[in-house]
Amino acid sequence: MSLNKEVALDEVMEIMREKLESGGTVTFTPNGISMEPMLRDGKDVVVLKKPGGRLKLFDVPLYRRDNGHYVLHRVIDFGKDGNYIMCGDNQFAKEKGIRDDQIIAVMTSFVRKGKPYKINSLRYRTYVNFWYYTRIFRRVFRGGKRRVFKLFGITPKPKSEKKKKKDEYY
Amino acid sequence: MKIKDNFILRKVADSYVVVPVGKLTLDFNGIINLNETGAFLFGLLQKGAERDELVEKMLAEYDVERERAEKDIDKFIASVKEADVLE
Repeated sequence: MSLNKEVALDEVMEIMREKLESGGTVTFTPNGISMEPMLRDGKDVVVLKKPGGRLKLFDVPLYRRDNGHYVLHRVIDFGKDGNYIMCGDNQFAKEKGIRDDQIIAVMTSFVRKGKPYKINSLRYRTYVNFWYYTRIFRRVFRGGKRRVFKLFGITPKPKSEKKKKKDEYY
Repeated sequence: MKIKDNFILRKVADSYVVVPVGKLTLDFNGIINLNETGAFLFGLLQKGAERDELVEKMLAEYDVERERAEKDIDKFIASVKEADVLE
């Protein structure tokens, strides 16, 4: 007999979808490091609702990959085919071709370190813009670190292996 | 003891969750996750039951020693009280 407070997302997806369909919001604590520094693994809380229409740039939707994984990442671009291009704040690899039918909900606010943030707040929008436009520098820096490691004969883990692990998070 | 009317038990995969109804927000952080025995007891509490009744019904339904059942039920009661789902 147990009464714990953690449930797997895919187990409660049906209940979640019902609530969203009826116009309500759902709240949960996402796991994974892919949305750091905004959302810390298993610590911060997101509030989601059903999107009213197409997602906008920098929206953070919860979507279902065709392999069944649920992911909470950011829209960073749009493909020519009209599909979304996603990327976690802590990632560099873009995920292309996410369709509207895969979108379950979109983040309307979040709670970080106990402090609530609305996505239309100035502070949040400043973060998003700063983080997005400095992405290129972080990428170069990371690549630079790898080259330095190589110089000293240390082989960091191959990129693909690291990425695979990250993809398991939602 | 009786569970508040606005909580329902839903089966998900291999377990059960207690979901508040009639609220516009659903917070999975505070959600109660129950196994089959927990769901059995929860069902009894939805109709209203005291500790003794829970113990007797559990002994009738499951192959378990009285001592163990009482211990588990006490734990269960403490948990539902803490979760604030009792009337």
